[in-house]
Amino acid sequence: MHFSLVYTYMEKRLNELFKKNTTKAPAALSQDIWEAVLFSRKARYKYRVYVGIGILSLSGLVPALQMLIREVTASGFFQYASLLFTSKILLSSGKELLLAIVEATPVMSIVLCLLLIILLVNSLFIIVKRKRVFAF
Amino acid sequence: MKETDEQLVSAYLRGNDNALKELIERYTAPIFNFVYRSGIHTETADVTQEIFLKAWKNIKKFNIQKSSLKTWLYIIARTTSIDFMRKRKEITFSDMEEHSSDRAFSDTIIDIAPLVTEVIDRLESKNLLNEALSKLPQNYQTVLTLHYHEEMTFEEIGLVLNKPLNTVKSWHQRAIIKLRQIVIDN
Repeated sequence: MHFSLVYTYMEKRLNELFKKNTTKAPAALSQDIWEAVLFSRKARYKYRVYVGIGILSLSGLVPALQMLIREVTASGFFQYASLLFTSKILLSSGKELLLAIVEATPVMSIVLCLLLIILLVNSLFIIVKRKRVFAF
Repeated sequence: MKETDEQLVSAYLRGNDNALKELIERYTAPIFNFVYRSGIHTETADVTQEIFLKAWKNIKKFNIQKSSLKTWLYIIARTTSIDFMRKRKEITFSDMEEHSSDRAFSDTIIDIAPLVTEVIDRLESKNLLNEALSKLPQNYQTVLTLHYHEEMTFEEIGLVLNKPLNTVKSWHQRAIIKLRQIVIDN
């Protein structure tokens, strides 16, 4: 009985002493933390959007490249382009050859592929950067 | 009536942002104090913020069956503080792992109780607590802070430190003895 009384007294005194020596947090800290949470939440949404863009552009890139290869083959682009290395034709009808090459170039497919590559690289860059900063 | 921590977590997970705000307001001061007492005196606010961000990111993993929210928050607070100090090279592995005795608390507490009243008187009269605590090993500081400031039980502290109950009790006892020594030497 005596021991438990002493122990309870000790606990009570130490509780009071620790409470009296509390280190006060800055007044605005709770608000700062809340704002940091909101900021991180926005950053996480953006991160997810970029992950989505990355996946979509990667999955779109495969058919776009297939389409590009198909169009380049079908339009005879490579045949015209190979003529560029034949000096005779280049000298006699260079202008016509260049026009034929331009005409055979699958512009839409190239633009689409480049767009998807830029999107993919850009989203990968942002994903890696955000992953490092926010550790999602 | 004041909602419990667990009710607030459930409310937040159902989409009530104010519940999370309330939790942050409820625990900012005690976590800040804990971080400060862990030995982080200059970047206390930043570390406190990091702790809450980690808690927010992992709130879906919080399991009421395993621990209370308070205990869970202090587990995050402790690991974050240790990581921070390790990065700053203010703490070594041996600081965390030494002194882990499993001697039963009941075997030794009788020895320390009368000593403590004397220690408390001196600590109080000279306002020495913070200085004396800073001279204790990290784990001892944590046990005393959680037990006397946050009023956590030794079982809860065991969860925070991931140590058996007897080890926590033993650390508590040794911390008090060391505290006494520091006060006497001062």
